[in-house]
Amino acid sequence: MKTWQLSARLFLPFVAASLLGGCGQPPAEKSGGATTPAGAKSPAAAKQPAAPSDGPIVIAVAGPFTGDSAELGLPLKMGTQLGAEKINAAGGINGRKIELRIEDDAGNSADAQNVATRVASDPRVIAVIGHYNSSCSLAAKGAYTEAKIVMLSPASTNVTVTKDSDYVYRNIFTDDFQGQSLADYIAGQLGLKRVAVLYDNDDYGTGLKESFRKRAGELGLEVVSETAFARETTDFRSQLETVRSSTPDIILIAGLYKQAAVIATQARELGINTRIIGGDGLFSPGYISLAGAAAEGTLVTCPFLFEIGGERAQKFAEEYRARWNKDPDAWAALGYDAFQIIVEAIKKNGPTREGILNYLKSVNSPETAFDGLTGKTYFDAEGDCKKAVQVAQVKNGKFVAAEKQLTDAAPTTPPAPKINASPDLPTTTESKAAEGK
Amino acid sequence: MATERGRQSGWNTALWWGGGFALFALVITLNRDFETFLRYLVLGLPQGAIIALIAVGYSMVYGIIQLINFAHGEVFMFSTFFVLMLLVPPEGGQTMAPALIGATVFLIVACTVWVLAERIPARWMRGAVAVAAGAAAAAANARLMPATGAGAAILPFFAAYALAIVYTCCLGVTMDLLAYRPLRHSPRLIALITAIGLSLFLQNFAQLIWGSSSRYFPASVRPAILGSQQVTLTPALSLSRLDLVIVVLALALMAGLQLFVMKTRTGRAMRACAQDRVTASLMGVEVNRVVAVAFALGAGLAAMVAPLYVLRGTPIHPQMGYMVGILAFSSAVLGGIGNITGAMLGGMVIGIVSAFVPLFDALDRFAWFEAAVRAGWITREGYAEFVQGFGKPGQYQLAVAYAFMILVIVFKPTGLLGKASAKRA
Repeated sequence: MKTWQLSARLFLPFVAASLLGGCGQPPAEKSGGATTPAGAKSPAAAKQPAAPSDGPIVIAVAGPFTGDSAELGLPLKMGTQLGAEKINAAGGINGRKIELRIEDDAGNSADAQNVATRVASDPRVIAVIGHYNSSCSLAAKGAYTEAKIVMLSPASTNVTVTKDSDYVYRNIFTDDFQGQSLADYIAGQLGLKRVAVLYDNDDYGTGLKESFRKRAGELGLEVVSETAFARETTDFRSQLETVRSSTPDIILIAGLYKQAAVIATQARELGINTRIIGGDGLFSPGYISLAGAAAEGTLVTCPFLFEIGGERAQKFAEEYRARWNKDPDAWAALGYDAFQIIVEAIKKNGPTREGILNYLKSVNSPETAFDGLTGKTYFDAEGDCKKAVQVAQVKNGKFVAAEKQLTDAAPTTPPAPKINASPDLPTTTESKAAEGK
Repeated sequence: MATERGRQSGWNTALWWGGGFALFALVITLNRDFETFLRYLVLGLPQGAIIALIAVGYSMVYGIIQLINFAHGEVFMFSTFFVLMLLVPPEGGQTMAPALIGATVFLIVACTVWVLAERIPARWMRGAVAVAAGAAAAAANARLMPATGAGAAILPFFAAYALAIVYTCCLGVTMDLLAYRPLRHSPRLIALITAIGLSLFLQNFAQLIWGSSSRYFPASVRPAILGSQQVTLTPALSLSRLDLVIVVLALALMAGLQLFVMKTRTGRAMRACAQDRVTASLMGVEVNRVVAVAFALGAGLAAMVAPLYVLRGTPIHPQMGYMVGILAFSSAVLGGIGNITGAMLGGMVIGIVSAFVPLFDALDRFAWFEAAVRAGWITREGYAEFVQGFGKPGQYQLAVAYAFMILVIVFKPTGLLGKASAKRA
């Protein structure tokens, strides 16, 4: 969900250039001739014998742990640390402890590239959990690919992150999958026909809108109006007048929570009481606190809701609070899951880079899926995660699970159990990422 | 003779613009219906009125000292924070807030009193009075600020609003005294760069005090008269109470400002300084005092509309003044910078033009569009492809407003009502 971050947009061209220039060689023919430090070191790393067979097993965790997006990255780190501490307390894997190597990329793609070079050249590291920002994942993946080390990102949603590399995986949805899910949900679960789309004129907004519209066409949904706005807009009344004249059944906001909150407020003020639905850009307590009563009933798609996760998720939330004295957010759970997937891989195939890759490759269907906190995770050939998007609804000033979920029809997922979530829990699944511009 | 020609060209301009707008109204009416035209017009009025009153602040100061006060948008932003600080206790993390607010109130009140107390001959005595007044104001403000904790008494909304207007006027005067007055005789570029620096400083200072999160006034303090209930004008046309108040208030303020500038002694002094600062000072006009009044007045007008702007749905945050400021500055330029009536007109024009832009998102439902499709001039597929490439007009709302301004400037470089002046050129 970090694709819209300013850094991503600023650095993508630079990253693309550096990937082409420095790490552009296909991983198969990486014997010499490399021009960058990353390239120069990785053959040496590859020639190293496999990771040592005694001492701790080292897994790297990379993300923004300082700097602007530190608040977003820290839950990821704390989630994985909690997982590692639990494993180690139980005696480790086959008697070997897990050591986490925490690497800070500060949410900055240049730092991410340095981290990747450093991590990839250390033969003891057998897998990487991270990075967080899509821009950082894109910057780092070249070095990991050359060193044949798996990178499993719990947060990068940009479509291009997993492309052109066999070693990049993620256990979160992609932006375009989310757009499709929104169309599926409106057509299937809500049974509505006429959709008005208001979208932010940036990569995130237009991407979400495009993937939505494609799927909407297939499902026979009618996009009755399509209105764009710029990030700087503060008065959406004219846009809403255009929306109103198209008499929609539902309004889709493809944008971030700050603008969406203003849109919701002004829509209600103009007497437009049509239901609002949005992507994870709206999945932030900020949306509710800014829009107040106007936010009631809004539906949003999100990567994970503790409510739907059932008892396991509640248990994790309690452990997390006990350990860190903080409420976990969705990315703490996704980071924990990513760690558990790596652990599962080590148990199955042993602590080697190759073994982990082979395990991830084998998790490719609902039958072989890894059953974690956030649901059943499995990967397609690209390394993208095929996991149902969850839908939250604003009720009494909180995000709670919507009555109808996308998975309702699928028999593989157990029904969401009724649980007494502590009142402050759902709101803490804070999509802070939305704050990054 | 000269005035006769001037009046005639004024009428000509008005006719051209009125005719152009009537033609636009006709086009929209023929394509959709007259109600649609009116609805978008009504949506643009409050926004235009707010921009117009901010634009006056730019124009007034420019008219007198030829300085584009880029920090004016930040003055606007500060006024919303002044209201907020009187209504909401500082958030958990902002432990420095009370001290910084106290220091700010002390500084702006002390500086304003220093400017006002020019009759006191001895500098030390004048300083002592200013410091005493600042300290008293800071102490009083500390008592007025709401305490953290439930059930604490807070000021009524309108009291906070009024006090914030006073503080903002003081901020305007302080800005002039500390940042611009020392540079009065320096090259204009230096003052301009100072203005940009001041704008950045104020943004960051606000962020230091109040943090960077977006906030609204609590819903509970919103007075009923500024509510969002719709006032029905015609069956198809309504606007919220708040918007009605904004439009009425803006018209009253504009009329009041015209009266002030044209009829009062100070107003005459302002016009004299705008014509020729040196000669005016030789005739006994206290230029520094006039400039201070211009700053206070501009800041006050911004503070009058700022809380209403927030109630319209724009959250308060330290960068909120930037976009509004640029828009208002463009309006002042469009109307002819230095000309107060022009700034008002420019603001209304910018507000209304930008309100109409999203209407064209539904271009494919226009009557003429249908006709053109039937006639075979355009195809719906072709239009869809065009939109795919260029995007919807709605996202170019601001771009269209600025383009309109550029277009006017190209054909009339002095702006709508600006007069060519060799001195200012």
